[in-house]
Amino acid sequence: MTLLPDKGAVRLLSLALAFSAPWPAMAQDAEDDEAIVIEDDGGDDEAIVVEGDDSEDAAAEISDADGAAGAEESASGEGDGPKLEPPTMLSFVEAEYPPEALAAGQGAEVIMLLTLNEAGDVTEATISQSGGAEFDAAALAAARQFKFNPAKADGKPFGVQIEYAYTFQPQVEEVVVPADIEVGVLKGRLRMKGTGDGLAGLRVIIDGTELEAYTDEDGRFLFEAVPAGEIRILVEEPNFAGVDDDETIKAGEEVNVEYFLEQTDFTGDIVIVGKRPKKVVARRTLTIREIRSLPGTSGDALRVVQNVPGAARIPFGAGDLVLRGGGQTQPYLNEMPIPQAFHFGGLRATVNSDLIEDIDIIPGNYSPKYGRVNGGIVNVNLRRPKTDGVHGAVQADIFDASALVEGPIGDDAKYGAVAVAFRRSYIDGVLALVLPEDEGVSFRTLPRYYDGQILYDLEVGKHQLKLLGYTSNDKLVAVIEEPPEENPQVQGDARFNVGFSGTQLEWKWTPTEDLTHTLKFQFQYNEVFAGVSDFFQFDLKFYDYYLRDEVEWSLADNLTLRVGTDNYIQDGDYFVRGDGGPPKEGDPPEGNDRRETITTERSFTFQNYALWTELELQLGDFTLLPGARVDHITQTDQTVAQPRFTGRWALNKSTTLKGGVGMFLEPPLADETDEAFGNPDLKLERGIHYSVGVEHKFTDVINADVVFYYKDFDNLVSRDDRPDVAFNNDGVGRAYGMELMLRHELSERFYGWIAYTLQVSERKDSPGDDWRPFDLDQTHNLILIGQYKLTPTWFIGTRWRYVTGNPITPITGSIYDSVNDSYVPVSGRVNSDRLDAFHQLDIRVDKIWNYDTWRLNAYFELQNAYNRGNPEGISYNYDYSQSQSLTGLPIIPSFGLRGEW
Amino acid sequence: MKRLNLSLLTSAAVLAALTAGCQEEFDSKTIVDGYRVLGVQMDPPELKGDTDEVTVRVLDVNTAGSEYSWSFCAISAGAITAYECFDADDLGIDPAALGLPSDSLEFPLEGDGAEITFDFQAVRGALLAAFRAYVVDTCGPDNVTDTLLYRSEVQVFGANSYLKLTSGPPSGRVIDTVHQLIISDSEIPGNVAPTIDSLTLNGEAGDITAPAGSSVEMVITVPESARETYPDYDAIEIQQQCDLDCAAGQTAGCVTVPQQTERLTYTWFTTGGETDPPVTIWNDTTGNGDTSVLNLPAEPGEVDLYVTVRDDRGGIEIISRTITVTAP
Repeated sequence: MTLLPDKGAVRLLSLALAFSAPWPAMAQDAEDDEAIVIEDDGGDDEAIVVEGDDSEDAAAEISDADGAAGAEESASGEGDGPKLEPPTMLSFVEAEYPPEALAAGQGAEVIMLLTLNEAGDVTEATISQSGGAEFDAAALAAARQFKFNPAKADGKPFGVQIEYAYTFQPQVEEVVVPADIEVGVLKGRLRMKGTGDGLAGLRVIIDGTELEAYTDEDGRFLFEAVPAGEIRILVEEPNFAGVDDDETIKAGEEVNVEYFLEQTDFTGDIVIVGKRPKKVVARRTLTIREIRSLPGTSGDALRVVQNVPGAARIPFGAGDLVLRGGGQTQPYLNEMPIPQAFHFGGLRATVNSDLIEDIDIIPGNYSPKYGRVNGGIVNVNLRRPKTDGVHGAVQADIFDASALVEGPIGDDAKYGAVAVAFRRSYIDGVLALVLPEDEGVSFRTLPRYYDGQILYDLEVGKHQLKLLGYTSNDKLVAVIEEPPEENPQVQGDARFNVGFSGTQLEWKWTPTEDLTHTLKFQFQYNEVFAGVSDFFQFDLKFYDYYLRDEVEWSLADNLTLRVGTDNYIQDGDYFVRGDGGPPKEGDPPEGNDRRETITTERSFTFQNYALWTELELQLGDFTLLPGARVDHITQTDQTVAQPRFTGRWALNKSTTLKGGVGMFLEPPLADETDEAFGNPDLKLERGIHYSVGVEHKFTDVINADVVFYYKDFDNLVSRDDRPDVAFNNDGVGRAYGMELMLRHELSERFYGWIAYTLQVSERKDSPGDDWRPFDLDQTHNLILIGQYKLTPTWFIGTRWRYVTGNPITPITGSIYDSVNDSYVPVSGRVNSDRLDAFHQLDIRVDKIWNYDTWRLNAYFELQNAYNRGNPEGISYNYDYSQSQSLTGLPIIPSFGLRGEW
Repeated sequence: MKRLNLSLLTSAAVLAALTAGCQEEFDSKTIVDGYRVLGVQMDPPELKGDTDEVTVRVLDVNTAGSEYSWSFCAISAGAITAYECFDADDLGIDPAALGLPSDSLEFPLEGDGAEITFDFQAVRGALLAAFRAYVVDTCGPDNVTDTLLYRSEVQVFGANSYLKLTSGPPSGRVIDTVHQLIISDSEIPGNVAPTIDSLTLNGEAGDITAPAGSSVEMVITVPESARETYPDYDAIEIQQQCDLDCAAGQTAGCVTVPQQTERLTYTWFTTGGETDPPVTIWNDTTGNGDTSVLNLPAEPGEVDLYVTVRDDRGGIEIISRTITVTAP
């Protein structure tokens, strides 16, 4: 078998990888520097050794271009080999042999460092070991035209750097099969039992001969000349149940075999974490496979956002995002804004977890590419559809069911790849069974949600095109059969409908190895309707047009410039009839009954334009990122520049210091500048973010990340006491504290983390006021998460949370409103009291069954395992003379099934 | 425009509703176990600019020895400030020049009983002065008319005028009550308080005797004419806003004021047992809501029943019965 060596040998230099699933577990942090170095084994230029930090991981051999050979993956550690699909060559371009050298019969080996992107294109080629100037030039010219199948882990492509040895040999030795031996052909394929995925890089031998082959990226192997007769086929891999099979080979005939190998050990499995350089003080990137089995998330990846430091716990588990003491947190999908991250109740993300590549959670001091919010950024990156065949997944639990189908279009994904996902809840049916019948409310449409995505991805040369269509909708229609006696006017229908649909287009062009241009456009239609009886109605419809354009230019080895534009136009209209607009932070718990019913109907166009730039400068152990952003916002008619800076200092291999400071702006809410409900003269809210921190690796598997932060808010929108002014910009605020992430990476059986936030978040609504706690000022927020592998197919995980009770405004009395026959509460000082602390234990157990071509995962989850009655608010009797805690959800067992192939 | 959190609010509402079933229930507000104010009856229920004498009566029960203190508040910010009246200084007006008794725009009314009579024209001056102060500020002095003032007094500026009452027995519970003054355009017919034809208990028109633990069917009869048809207030709010816009020199199109028929709300109060349902509605979609059931207590004694009938515009009427509960 002739492999790459006549064309070159590959060795992977560095990958960020971790050990984990298929037990649905988490792996290393995306930004850990626990990259496993894959080095040449030194003895065979056909083989490469995959080494972890302990230099004892796997070895691999790269298959050749025709896929006839494979890779070799040797055991690591205690015989565990990571499931890695190294890049394999798709298109080889032969170098022009230097004529003089050829004439002289001279050969040479040129070792090059090739940077491959996720598409398998060579984006950069440099000489690592020269073979002479002429050979170097010829090899580089050829290598830049190579095309690879990208490196993959579990089918997910990722960019790598490889060393490639191009060998110039003046003579080629032909392999000749003796003519007097009768031979046949043996073709075969090794596949993962459970998923049917091809197993790359496994060694297949024919016992009693010297014949051996290695599976290619699809798990296929080929013996072109096997002596006729009985043969014994052996596959011995430490991580899999081996193959020991007898076959009969007949002369001149071809035998096809296929074996499904059951994985027996999972610690060597690799999850490749999208390795983005750390450019911010605190970016927490988690991969989908890390997080979908976390207890308390019901398998929804995005819910992990509430398990990281800095994220406030939201009452009732609802899906809002509040990071680092307040300010709006904007959810993004592929770096383009979406209106809501979660469906009703925060049960599910509005994007199917099966399509999520990873999630960036940036609580503050983010890049100037983001703006218009004063809180944090949560960006969901969708992955590329799989290209190695048709795959899918079906999942169902007590809340909803979802399905995903994906695969390539054309051979070798010549026409791209597509994925289609859809989810629909049936929680309405469940609720119909459990809702009490005498509550005076019946549901015409119980809470139901659905979402769908269709994703298309195409790579053509240096161009990558991504198209996404998506939709999300939540609806609830309740019939109030018996008006609440506190407010007899509440009767009739209560309707809520929140939906958005959109299209995203992303075009990435890499004209040279130093220049990348990315254009993103999104069109989105949004509708929100909320109505209760005839005394409240909110009907909003608007279109979003979003454009992001970004150029990244590597000016030098240590200097990269990024410039971009970030534009957002919203155009729509709304009708509102209600009392004084929606509630606002700091309002008393029983609402702000400041005004009588107001009816207004308006059209609006908000235009937001921004230019930004960022420089990334590497000075020794320092990484400096100065940047700036200029926003023009028509809602407030302001143009404001915002300087930002972050920096990192790698003290040594284990410890990095980091810090940042920057200005951030946030427009008022729409209702706050409405002529009827608000004050059209409001200006932008402003925040200055400061943060410093340190990252430290204690061991290979234990690391810590500590960040101290201070956020200084001013120009905050506050309610105004004057009779003719609803809001002003007199509010100020501050949030400061410490975030700790202490993480135990996946070892043989365990992973987990401790996330702790110590925080003070306060507001001052008017200059003369005293500081008061922010609505979600949670002094202590502790989250303990761990998952333990009982056996290769049984896992148990647990999460325990302790959070300081939220501030509340006490009610000190009431006044009887005789016209409306209701009591109006008299509130004490805003947020001067607190609810009792929240604590809750969640447990999850997973069991996996592996079949030949698919895998079944069943899980049982117990939320609030010890049935803690966590106070989420206070309920009062009709005249506020009696009260009791309003508790969150009780113990909830749930069960789910997931099949994937 | 930043994103809206209606889905979050909805989520919280749904989850709160689901978990509410886990909470202990408070006593219904229709169970009367001490001093209570069931409503305030004002005659006329809706004022005009030329209204003179106004009679106000608090509909309270268990009143033994109760004391009453009445006042009038020209403008307050409403519930957000617990109906605390603005000071004249808040509005930039001179109280002395306007003949106001103090800097506060709240001043006492004569009378210390459950029923008082006051001259609206006497307090109207303060009311007008207060409103004029910031209507002038908003629209300019040349655009201020009494009609505009009256139309814009409540909704547009978020200001409210109230009668305020503090009442209760000396050693018992004291209740603070506010009764919003509804002042309508003189061209619109004033509201007439609803009337009650009858209240029958188990088919009988007067007080009855019934065994403990039994149920009493209650039927109230209200004349059809009690449900008046009147211009839609919400539409009027649009009209008011339009007027203001016009007054400010704008010419936004004004709307035709639609008509709507009053909704009547019956509240079934009891001093013993419980009423089911405790509140019923008579409107165009739910029917006349004239029936409820009183589930009597298990112990013998006397139970007082009070039924109030309210319209949408401050009109109220009350009727009561006594039920002698006998041993079963």
